[in-house]
Amino acid sequence: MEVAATTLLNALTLISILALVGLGLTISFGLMNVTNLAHGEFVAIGAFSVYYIQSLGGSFWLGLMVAPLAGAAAGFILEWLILRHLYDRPVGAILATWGISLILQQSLELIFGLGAKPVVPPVDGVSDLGLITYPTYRLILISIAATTLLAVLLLLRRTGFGLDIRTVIQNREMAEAVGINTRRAFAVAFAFGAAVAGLAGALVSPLATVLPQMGVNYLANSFFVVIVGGAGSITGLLAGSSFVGGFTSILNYQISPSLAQALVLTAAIVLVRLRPNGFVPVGSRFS
Amino acid sequence: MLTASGLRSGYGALPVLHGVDIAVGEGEVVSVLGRNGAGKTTLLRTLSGALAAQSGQISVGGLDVTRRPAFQRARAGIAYVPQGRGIFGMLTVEENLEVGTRAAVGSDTTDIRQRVFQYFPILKERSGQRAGTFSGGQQQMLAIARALCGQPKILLLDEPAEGIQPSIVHEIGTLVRRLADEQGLAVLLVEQNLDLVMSASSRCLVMDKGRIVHAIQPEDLKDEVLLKQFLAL
Ligand SMILES: Nc1ncnc2c1ncn2[C@@H]1O[C@H](COP(=O)(O)OP(=O)(O)OP(=O)(O)O)[C@@H](O)[C@H]1O
Ligand SMILES: [Mg+2]
Repeated sequence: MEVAATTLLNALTLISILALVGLGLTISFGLMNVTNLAHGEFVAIGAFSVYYIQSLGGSFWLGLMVAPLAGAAAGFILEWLILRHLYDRPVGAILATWGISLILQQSLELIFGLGAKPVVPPVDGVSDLGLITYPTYRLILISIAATTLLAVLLLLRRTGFGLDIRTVIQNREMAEAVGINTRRAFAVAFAFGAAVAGLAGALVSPLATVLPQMGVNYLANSFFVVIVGGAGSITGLLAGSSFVGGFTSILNYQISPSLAQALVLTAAIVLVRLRPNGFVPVGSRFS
Repeated sequence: MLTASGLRSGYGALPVLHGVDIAVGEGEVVSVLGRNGAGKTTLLRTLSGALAAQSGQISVGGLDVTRRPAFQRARAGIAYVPQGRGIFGMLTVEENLEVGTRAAVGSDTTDIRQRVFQYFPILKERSGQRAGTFSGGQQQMLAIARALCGQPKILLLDEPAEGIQPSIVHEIGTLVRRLADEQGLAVLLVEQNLDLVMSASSRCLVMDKGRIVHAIQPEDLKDEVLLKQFLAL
């Protein structure tokens, strides 16, 4: 029972992070068919933001607020400089973002130097949940992630901008024909996805090894999430994150992490063979 | 209201339009007839901006929009109802109409929707329903309603009668005529259904192989000899 509760909370931690990172991927894929291989670097930028703020004497919380801004700025620049010229060339976009990913990693290394960077969590210790005790910071992480995802959902369902995004995802040409500036919608959505990835990086920074290359791992796992869940849908994002995150957490408890990851990948491949469009069919995108 | 001159466009290396000249005035319904593959859809897509013009000029009420992207043309007054209707099936009727108002920049969008509902009472009753659950005829009505929400000056309609039952086709014909008469809308109607063309049009153009080859009167469509000659059916 205690094991199950702990595994559940571990799974929720991982699912939270995967969903936050996957959001940006599912947006760029669902809206413009862009596969952004530099998305992991937004996570790294978020984590380094917290490290940098702390190294200047600032608090973790300040870092947590700066991280999404740094992510958004990086996303905005990437879209403006590179991606907007490559919307009609999906393969070109993959290659370009791959190059950008390497450049960003090298830049982080040049600026901050080699080696892992320490990030101090804002709170220490554990919380007594009755049945089990669990690290307080992880509970905070889960709450912040859940709140963020809920806010994103409300933004998509209840605001005019959200309606524009849902419209573009369904039919870009028609969205443009009714008067939506689809390129601007994408630029904003892309920067937003980068901001949320930056937030994810900040949230994991006290738990993870903060390195310029840290994004690669998150990128790979969030790709599973988007492939499994189907691109362009929040429901799919949550389904995919739960599948990948839940499965990984359960397996991690039983076997070594790398074997667990290989098994999750295999399961994802099998699932995609069975349901090529993911859990959530394309028709019900962002609804 | 809408003028296009010397319009050429196509897909990649395949040219489809070979210099089309067309003008639609305020309150006028101009129909375009022509065989499958004549380039009618390509013409409307080029006018709406979904497809870039390779040469020629398009203007809306004197404003040159040839180099403008589609969303700006929509805001300049061109509304486009594509072949197959292009409604947003996962959105509700209300949401479809709301995105329709994106082209009506600076206007009171609730007000616009109320006025559009007057033409389409059934849409008001079903405003919370998902558009994808509608029948073909209802979707066509919704697509036209959505186009009107942008407060257009020009309405481009691509085969609105396709796959729709005759009673609704008749309704569409009456509606199009009314919109032109009451609101001064300039309508460019691509259509194969001769009944609809005859009931709604002010004049007709025949298109073949990417060119306008004849200009005829709607009454001429009743004359089978003329019809054979023009449409080579
Ligand atoms: N997306 C496309 N890519 C390449 N060629 C196309 C495309 N769409 C149409 N064409 C070609 O352009 C030509 C004109 O097509 P268009 O759809 O404009 O004809 P149409 O007059 O609308 O025909 P229909 O009555 O069947 O709707 C055809 O030869 C068609 O094969
Ligand atoms: Mg056609």
